[in-house]
Amino acid sequence: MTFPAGLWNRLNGHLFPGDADEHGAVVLAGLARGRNGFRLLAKEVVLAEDGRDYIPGERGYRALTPLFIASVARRARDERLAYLAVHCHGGAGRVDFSEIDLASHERGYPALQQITRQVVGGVVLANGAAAGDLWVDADHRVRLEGTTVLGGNIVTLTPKAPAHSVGHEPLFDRQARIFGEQGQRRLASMKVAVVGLGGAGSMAAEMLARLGVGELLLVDPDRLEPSNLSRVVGSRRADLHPSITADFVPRLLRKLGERRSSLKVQIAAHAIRRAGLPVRTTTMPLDVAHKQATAQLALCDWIVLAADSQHARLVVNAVVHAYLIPAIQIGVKIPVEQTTGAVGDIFAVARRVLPDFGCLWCNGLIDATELQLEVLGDEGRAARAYVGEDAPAPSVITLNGLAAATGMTDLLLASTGLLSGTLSSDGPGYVRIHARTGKQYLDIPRRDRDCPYCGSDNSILGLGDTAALPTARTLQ
Amino acid sequence: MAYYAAAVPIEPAVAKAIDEVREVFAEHRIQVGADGQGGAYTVVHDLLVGDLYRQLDTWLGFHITYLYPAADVYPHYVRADLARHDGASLGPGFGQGSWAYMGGQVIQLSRRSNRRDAKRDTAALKALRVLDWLRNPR
Repeated sequence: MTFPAGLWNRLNGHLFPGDADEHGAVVLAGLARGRNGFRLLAKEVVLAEDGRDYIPGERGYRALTPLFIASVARRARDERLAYLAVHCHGGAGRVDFSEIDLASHERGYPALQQITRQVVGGVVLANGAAAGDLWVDADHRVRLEGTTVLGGNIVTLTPKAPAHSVGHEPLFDRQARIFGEQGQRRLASMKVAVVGLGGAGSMAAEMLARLGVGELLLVDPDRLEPSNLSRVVGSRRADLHPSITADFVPRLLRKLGERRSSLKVQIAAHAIRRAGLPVRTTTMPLDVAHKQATAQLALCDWIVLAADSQHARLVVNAVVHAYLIPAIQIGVKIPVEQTTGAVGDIFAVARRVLPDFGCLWCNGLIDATELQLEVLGDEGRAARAYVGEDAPAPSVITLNGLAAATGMTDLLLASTGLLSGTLSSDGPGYVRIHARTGKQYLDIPRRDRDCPYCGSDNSILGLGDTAALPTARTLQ
Repeated sequence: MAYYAAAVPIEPAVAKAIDEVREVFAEHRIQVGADGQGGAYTVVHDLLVGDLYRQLDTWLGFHITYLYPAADVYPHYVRADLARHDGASLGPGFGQGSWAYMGGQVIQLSRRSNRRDAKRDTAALKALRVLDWLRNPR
């Protein structure tokens, strides 16, 4: 089960107000297919007021009232959301249900599951631990593997702390001394999507592989062009078809040759394989807006967005919010005046995007006009050409490296629990590094209440597999 | 570019946008054509262009795509032969182009929406703004 940090803080604040007493609530959650079973996506917390909704129980210490259960269960049925009753225990570091808890689950949840036709169950929290007992249907009862909170640090709570292991993989010895074997294991368990394998993306993929991330999903439809050689990590002249690097080649042959150059995803995968790193790679030479690619994104633990297009930003932003998956958008802006060649303020960015923090839509980072031009395809390219807006953007490897390193360091520290201060709870915000002045800024993103992606009402937040995503309508 | 075999019906948001255009331009003939991907081509006919031009009126066309309202409505198109009384060029924001939906050459009006509010800046409102600018180019 995954929680946006704000929702978790609200639940936690209610369950642990400092009185060492038991309190209750219900979490309504969306559902998504996961890599190993299904994922619950916490969408709303309905707090049970002590003495009114949560009262002394007949068999246990306290219980939710039938009226409260019926009201929330009706919502779960109507809105097709999972129903999870949550209460708290004392102690720290480990938690499990009592015999009385389990008996009450067996009395009530099979019937509740039949009425709501959704996943139902109980979750119990203690300080630093969480356990869950879920009814998927009348015949299937499963235990919750973990509860993940998407704050600045990405924290996963389990019924008991993982066993401390001795020794670590020699390959990652130097870095495991920073975040420990547990941190290295955490990286090895992760599947990270890298969207866009150009300058910044190829560097991010290389870094992630060398960090020991378990699995990489590489998404980019493009093939290598001559001007990419100076920036795409792992690319070689041999990846370009000879017809497009020769001194003079007729235009038609050059066009045919471009189609024979290596795919950027293949270049990245090959570079990783060549290094003999223990990471599994899956290549998807598709635009991320393609339904097939988007479906795979939803199975990842992190998304690194290094693609230039607005449609990629729109889709990734939607996946972050629908599936509660953290992302980092990395990029570089090099403004060069077309007529005079004057170079403006150059900056690299690494923007964390969490389900309740850093929405690209709320922060004006998805250009609606550019999005339209992309969707228009040939019509859009013609429209751009008529106003002389078809020049490629400047790009250079060192600045791409700045963006990639900043972003991947954030991913690393967040995944291994090493962000500190307000960054650990609130999130790092948007990091912006100005290359020509050496100044670095942390922009705090805004959030609109009625945003269609991260808003609290009528948004796709936490809807999982029932969310309508802005995927492409044409096969590419 | 390959297309899905079955055409996608017009998205509810696009249909709503077209209804709003019909309401705003109630006295004009509105031509609508589905693009097969959930969006629609829309043309408002018989719009007066004002005193600057030799022609009395024009049609105004635009493509509302399936990503509306996340995507802006841009660019807009008018008759290909639009010309000023004074013989001067049409100026910045105007360009000779082509639009397959209207069968050939057109003039493209390139008016980007700055600080766009997807909820408020509807296709109808954008069409009104573009029309206003066409009549009073700055």
